Amino acid sequence: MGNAVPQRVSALHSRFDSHSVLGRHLRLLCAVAVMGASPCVTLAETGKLLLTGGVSSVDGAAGGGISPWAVVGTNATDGQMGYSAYISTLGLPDYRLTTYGAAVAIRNRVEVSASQQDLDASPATGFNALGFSVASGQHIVMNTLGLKVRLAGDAVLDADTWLPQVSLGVLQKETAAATIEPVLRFVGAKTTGTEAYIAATKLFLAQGLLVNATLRYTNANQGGLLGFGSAAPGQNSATWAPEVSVAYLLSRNLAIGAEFRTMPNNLEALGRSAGLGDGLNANHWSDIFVAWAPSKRYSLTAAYVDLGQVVPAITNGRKQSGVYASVQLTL
Amino acid sequence: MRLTTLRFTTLTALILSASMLTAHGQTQTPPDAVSAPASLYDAFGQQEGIRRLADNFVQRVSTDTRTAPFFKESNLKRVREKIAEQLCVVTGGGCVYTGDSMVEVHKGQGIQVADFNAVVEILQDAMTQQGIAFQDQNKLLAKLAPMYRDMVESPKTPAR
Repeated sequence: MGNAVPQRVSALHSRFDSHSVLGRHLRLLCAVAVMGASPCVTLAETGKLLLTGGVSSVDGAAGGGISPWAVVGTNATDGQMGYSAYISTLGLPDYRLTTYGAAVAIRNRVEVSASQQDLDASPATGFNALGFSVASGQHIVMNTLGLKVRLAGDAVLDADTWLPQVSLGVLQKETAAATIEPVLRFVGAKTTGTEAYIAATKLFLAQGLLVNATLRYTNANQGGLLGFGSAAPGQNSATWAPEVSVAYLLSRNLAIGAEFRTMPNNLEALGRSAGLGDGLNANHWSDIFVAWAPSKRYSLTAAYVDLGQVVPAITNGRKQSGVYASVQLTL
Repeated sequence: MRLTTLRFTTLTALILSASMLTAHGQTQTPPDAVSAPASLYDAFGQQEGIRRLADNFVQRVSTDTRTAPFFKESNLKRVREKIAEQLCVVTGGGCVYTGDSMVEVHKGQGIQVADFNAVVEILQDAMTQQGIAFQDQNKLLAKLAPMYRDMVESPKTPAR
């Protein structure tokens, strides 16, 4: 409290390694994807219409760039299986976020995804002024395992009703912060967390306009990159965070859109009580994007993303906004 | 943060306005797939354009490897006529459809959603070849899409 300066001994290197639970899941997903190329599986070559499987969001689930949607990813429709893999990068004034992942879809009903987010958190050495021993150029790595189940509706074909496609999803996240982990411990943020969400998506086909609303139950800090929850009283529990996306089809294979994702702000109160003012403040995320699918196999997404302030205490309050690019391969 | 919210709201409003403008003022009510303003019929070239589209479409679906098997035993001349009638009705041309119901026509063929989507893509190709605007294509598809329920095999009724 106040000016308490934690004396940290040499940092525990709790780096993510492939023996962790999520690491095993990531390898399993890749194995399934490779096996799926065998002739005993019906590959979803012609299943869905272009772009109606969404793109891979930053958490690995199909949707927009920063929000999961109710659509089940890949091209799979009934009786088919689909696979997708993606890589993306986001350049911000003080950070860089690289994400890659894969997803498997079963019959347009179930989607399993795995992704890894790699954040270059170099500014975190700013915490060393408080007595921490953050290594120079330290990365934070977060692994996410996702499961999504379509409950009802078809976002595209049910064009004669207002009813959207509705899906329920769970995201299991594990964050490895290495020399930054003592900072997470200090603020009371856990390194594993679970998020749940319900999403409703509808393509108003006559207008070529897609609308999605997602309600996410979460206590993640910056999506989990800064852990989950907080030591501040009343700031540790999860809240319902709404997210909205809209996308407009310019042509069969080109869409533009915008997204808005509200963020919990669990660490700000703690930062204040630690004498950092609003140094641990978090803002909502938003972006505008263009998605281009030259074929069923590839899609490219470019976006301008605004994450607002991300740990203003170590970034001089700079707004973290920049260009995002993603490539997705779908089978 | 307030600025970000404002920017997003403005962008959403722009996107929504763009889509409204291209809707040609057509009111968005849950359509019953029966009637539409005459403008869509005009956009498709009226009787002549619709007949050409039906011919083009049937030629494609009966030869495309994804869908040809479904048309092997069909009387293609009758299929062309009935599809032209259906398109005329759906685009507001004032025709009367004299064919069998969608359920009757497609019963027992084992049609899956993937097959339906393949047909939609083929129709999109045919419309594009005829120079029909993307927004008008989507208006037609919006009226035809719900028919998947009458055409696609449900798990309870396996193909014979």
